[in-house]
Amino acid sequence: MNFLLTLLLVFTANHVYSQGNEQEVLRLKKGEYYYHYLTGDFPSAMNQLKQWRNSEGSIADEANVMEAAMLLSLGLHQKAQNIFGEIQQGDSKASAQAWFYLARRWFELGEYSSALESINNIEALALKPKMLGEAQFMKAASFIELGEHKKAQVMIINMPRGSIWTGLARHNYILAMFDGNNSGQSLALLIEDATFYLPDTEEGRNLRDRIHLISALHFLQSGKNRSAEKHLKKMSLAGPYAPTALLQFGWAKVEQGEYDQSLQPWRELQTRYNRFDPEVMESMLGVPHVLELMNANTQALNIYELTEKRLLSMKILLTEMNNGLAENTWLEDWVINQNDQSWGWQANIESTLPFNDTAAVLQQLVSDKKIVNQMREYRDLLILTDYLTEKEESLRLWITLVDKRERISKARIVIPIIEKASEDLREAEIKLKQMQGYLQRSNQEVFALPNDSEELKIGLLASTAGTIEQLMEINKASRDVTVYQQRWARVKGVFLWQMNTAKVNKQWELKKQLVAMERLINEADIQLIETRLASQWSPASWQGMKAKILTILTKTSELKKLAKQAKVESKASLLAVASDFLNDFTYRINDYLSQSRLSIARLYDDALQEYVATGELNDKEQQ
Amino acid sequence: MRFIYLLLLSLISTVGFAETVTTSGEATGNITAIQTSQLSAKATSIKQSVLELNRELYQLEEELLSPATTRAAVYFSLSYGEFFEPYSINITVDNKQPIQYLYTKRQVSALQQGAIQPLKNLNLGPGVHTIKAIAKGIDNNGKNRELVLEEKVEKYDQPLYIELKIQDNKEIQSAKLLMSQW
Repeated sequence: MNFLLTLLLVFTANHVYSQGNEQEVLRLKKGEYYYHYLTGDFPSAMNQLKQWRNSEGSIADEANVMEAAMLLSLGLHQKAQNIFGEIQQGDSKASAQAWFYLARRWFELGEYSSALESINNIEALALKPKMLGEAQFMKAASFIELGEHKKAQVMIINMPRGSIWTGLARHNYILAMFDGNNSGQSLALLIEDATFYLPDTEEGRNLRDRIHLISALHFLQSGKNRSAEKHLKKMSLAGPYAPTALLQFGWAKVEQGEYDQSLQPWRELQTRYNRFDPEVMESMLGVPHVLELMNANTQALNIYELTEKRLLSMKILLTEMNNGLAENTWLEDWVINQNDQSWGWQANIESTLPFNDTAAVLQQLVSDKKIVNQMREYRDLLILTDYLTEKEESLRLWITLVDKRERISKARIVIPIIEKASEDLREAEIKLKQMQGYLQRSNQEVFALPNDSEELKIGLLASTAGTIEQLMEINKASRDVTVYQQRWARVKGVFLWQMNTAKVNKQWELKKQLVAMERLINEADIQLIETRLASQWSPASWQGMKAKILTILTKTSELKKLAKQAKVESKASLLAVASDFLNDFTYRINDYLSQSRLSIARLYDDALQEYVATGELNDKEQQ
Repeated sequence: MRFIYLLLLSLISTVGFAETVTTSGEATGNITAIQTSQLSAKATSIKQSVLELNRELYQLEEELLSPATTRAAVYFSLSYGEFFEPYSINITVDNKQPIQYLYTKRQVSALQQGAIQPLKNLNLGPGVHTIKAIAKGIDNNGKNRELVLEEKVEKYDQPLYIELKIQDNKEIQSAKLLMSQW
């Protein structure tokens, strides 16, 4: 009974100990995940994630949230939605950061209700100020998108005034006010607030320009040209919205009948910006139109003719570009110019195309988010193909290495060496025991532990004793050997004294050496056991590995084939989109060409009618 | 008059051409959109497969580099990092296999937030091994300090996890280097 109880106790203790160990290892893995995550090494972080999914408790909750965010980033919305639903039902204990990244992905996908739910799970104090600002912006913007303007307003009021995120939230709120046809003092104040408190950074300045531009466009649409002009005047010419601002400023002036003043911004526009810019193209026809309105018909005609030539040369250039699009390296140049070499949603993508003639036309193409996503996908596939090629190569190298390990392992004759070493060790142990016995016996021996010279002396003493005894037997009457006897006894006594004096030291020295030897033999014994274990473990470095590598190599090769094919398809699709874009551009130029030609014809016809009306043509000319 | 007729005719033909272009353009646009979404789904599936493959590759490489029987992983962590901020760590196992690491601000910040750094995966034979670690850094007074540790670990046929941890001690306003193993 006692034995059973002890067995049970030992088992329970072992179980608890191993469970504790598992928890500690899990804690290390979680810490490792966060280390990769916080230092920006996302692929390694994702590798850790898989291990979490199988665990229970709060760690698994957090893994769920992070996995949902990562699935969303991969476009696997349905699967992410399922996980998200499970998270919502349970009492989740995921960190604020995990919720933040999930909210960000929902927001990017336009799923505002889900984004709001994720944001509501964020503990504000656990986030860094920059992240908190973004979270507040997402919350306000989500309220706006869901039509809950009052809540958005309260949210914006509670945000720090000088933050760029507050500026962005105000921008969205202003847009919502325009959509709702709101006007009046509150709108003017909101615009003033939004532009006044922005930080003095490039981002802040660009946002200020954007707010002025949207306000100007709104006022232009509602016929408030002066208000529009006021906002357009505040915009910087160095910002990205300058072309639109210049064009609209010109039209605002035209609407007010100030024709001569509308020409200057358009001239500025045509001098500063690329001729393929839609605003520049519109201004090309705008200038002669205004001249017509000013009754400067000859000048208008000249400019229409000049515009026609320009448009014709642009059309030729576009046709040539379209024909040579497949050979053009604009897409590859764009991929090469990216600083960030990672793939997926974490990659920091620069959407601006490298500067060249093709890029000058196609730059407008990349203002479309869908096209940028397609380009990003192509880039991802390119990186993945390279990655898979690299892995395929390294797996082949691993096969070579595993083969080598196996060959070496099989060729290595370990067991006889270990057996021989074991035998040597046993002999050494026997000798050690003999020596220990010798040391033990030295206490009883008179001439114990002699060295070489002492051994010689002992021999001499023994042989001398024999000689004396012989002499005593031969010459009993004539020779007295007592003197020799006494001398022998004296020498023996002195020698015994000397040996006895040295004996303790010798015993001590021998004992020290024997102890050291015993330690060495023990160490050798442990080493031998460990070597035997190592020999047993060594096949683990190659056994079964080749099959595993081959399986993964097959997978890698198949996946590489798919990735390559998808890459080719993706490029073909992008080229088709670019070609369509160039075709559309050509149609637009055709349209402008028609307009300019029609205007030219109209102006000539007007002039002709005038000549006819005033009778300045003779009969022959009239026919 | 003839000129005006010609002009009207050209205008009508332009409008007709524009309509044809728009209709065929819409059809092409729809086909392109379908192709794009199919391609996007394909790319997404490839990405997911690559992620799974990446995990398998990671595990395989781990097994190849250090089989479970000899695997030993060294981790480094900070409890709070209030009394010591590391800028380097130097570890030797049995006076061999030196592990040296210099920390960036971002890494220290990650450690202070509770992250645990996977320092290195080692291959250790069976038996007892001596681990010596020296963490160099600055204390809460801005002075250079070294935390030293020397301990023994025993390796069995299961993977060994070693955690080196800098633990704050509020009572003595100082930090010390500790080691745990599982």
